[in-house]
Amino acid sequence: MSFYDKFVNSVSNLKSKLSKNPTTADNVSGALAAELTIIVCLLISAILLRHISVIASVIMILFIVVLLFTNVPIAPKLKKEQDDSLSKMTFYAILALGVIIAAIYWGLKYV
Amino acid sequence: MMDMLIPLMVIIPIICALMVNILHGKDKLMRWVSLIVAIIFPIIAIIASLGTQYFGGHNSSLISSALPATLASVSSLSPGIVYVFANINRIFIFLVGIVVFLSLFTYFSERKKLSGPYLFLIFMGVASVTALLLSNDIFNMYVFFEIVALTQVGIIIASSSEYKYETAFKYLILGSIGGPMLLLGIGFILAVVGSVNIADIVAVISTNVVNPLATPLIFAFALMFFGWLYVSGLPPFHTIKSELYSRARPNGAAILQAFSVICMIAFGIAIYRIFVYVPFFKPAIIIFSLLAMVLGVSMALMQNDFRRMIAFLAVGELGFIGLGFGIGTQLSITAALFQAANELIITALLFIGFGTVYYLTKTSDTKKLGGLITVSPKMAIMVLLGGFAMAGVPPFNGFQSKIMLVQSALNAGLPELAIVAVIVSIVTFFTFVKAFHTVYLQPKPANLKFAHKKIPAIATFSVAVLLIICLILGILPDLVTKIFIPFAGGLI
Repeated sequence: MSFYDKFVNSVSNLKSKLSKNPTTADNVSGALAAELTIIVCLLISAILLRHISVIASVIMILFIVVLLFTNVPIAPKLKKEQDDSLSKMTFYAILALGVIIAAIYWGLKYV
Repeated sequence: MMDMLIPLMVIIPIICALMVNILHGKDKLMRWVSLIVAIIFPIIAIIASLGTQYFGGHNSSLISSALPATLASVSSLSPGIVYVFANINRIFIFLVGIVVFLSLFTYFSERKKLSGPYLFLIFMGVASVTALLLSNDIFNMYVFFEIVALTQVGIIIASSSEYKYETAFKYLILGSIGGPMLLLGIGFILAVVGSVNIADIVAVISTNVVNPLATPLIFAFALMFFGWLYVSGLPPFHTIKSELYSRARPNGAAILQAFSVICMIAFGIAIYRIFVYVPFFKPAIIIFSLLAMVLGVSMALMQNDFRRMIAFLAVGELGFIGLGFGIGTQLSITAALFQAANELIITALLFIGFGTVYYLTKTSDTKKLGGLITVSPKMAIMVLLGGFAMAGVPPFNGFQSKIMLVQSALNAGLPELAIVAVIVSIVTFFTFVKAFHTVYLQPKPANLKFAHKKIPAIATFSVAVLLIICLILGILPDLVTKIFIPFAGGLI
């Protein structure tokens, strides 16, 4: 199955759960553009780590590449995670709070 | 020297809010009172002289000579509310005034029966964001922000959206996580420093009166940073903010996003002044700004609802503002402030402009729309140009602020950020053109029904005014950057 077919199926599956409207070229082109945007921005952002450590940057890029190979398409999954569900919004808010507190409080010991 | 016009910028909208609520039912009178205040408000911001207003406190410079030498240091502390009115405040208050005036003007043209409580909420919100911007005291800023948050909830409830109560409820629940964390952070600062006045906190920390890396201060930074994400609508709060904008009346959404931008700027500047020395400060801002940019634009790409699409794009644009603060150079902070001013105007233009589509058809589902360029070609072209401004196409204002941001990232040795900024701008352009094609250019669906036949002339006027401002700021960016540059220099 080609990447495009895989992509169309993924968008169709997600859409069928969210609404009864048929999947259109508009939906797929949007999701495909979103997918490419996410992949490119993830990889470029990972290069930013070179300011801390080049090795960390390489490891992060390899990690992202593996993540991408095993999880594409990401965009429809990301959309599913960012729907209007209160439980998901609350979960991510609390997760972010935990990560921020942990990274800033304990991370400071290593600065 | 005190200038009594400074507190009037807060007091007049509050009085107006109370009046329109009392006048509910007397539409003509409400319309006039609201319009007069909406016109006076930006005018006051222009004519008020710069200065400091001491509320219930004292002017330290006046009493320091009268105090004994042992108390000289005490005289510099500010126990009351202090309003500081600088040129940067003038610009933002003026722009908020313009957006509120044009949004209300459009609201009046679209509805024969007005709602007193709705207008009350808008004017209370205006008073609160103005006070937030003027205040030099983080506790007062928090209080004013909570009033803004409550007015935002009220504005949603006052809309005709199907899911208005659900959205308002969700915003309150998430606010009950973000708001208390912000307050807790302020509490930690008060416990360590003994003051909530920003100038006093900065003085105490910078002179090492307290240990700048003391655990409670670091904790305060983490909590206030999380609170700032909530205030701004940056991830993880981007979904609720975008839902909030998309559920409001389009002219209400224009005001809501203006409130969010002002809150982001006011708290962003306060946190920058207090915590810029913390080692993780700039990286933390950059990470969340990048997340906002990428998530905002990628989610916007996948929307079928054009109001939700603009809402996500607005969130993505907030990331550009954050990025400027995160890079932390004079040029980048100038670009961030300029971007904030631009976003206020451009997003309002898009909400009001695309809002006319909702006014005509009572739907924002792009699948049900098409061919609307034949109904109002003028509006379609202006909305298209507004989209160009948001994407950063010259000669509009968005181009100027984004090119400054890209330049500052390159100068700071962070070309990756410049590349991401350019990519996100290109994708914003693509998103917008796709939505424009669907709504205006593709063949009109046979079953498309119209609730109104024509767009109100006032809506066209409002969008035209906002577009002219975009063009003026794009051609003459110095009008505002000459004020932002020294301010940013002082901040770093």
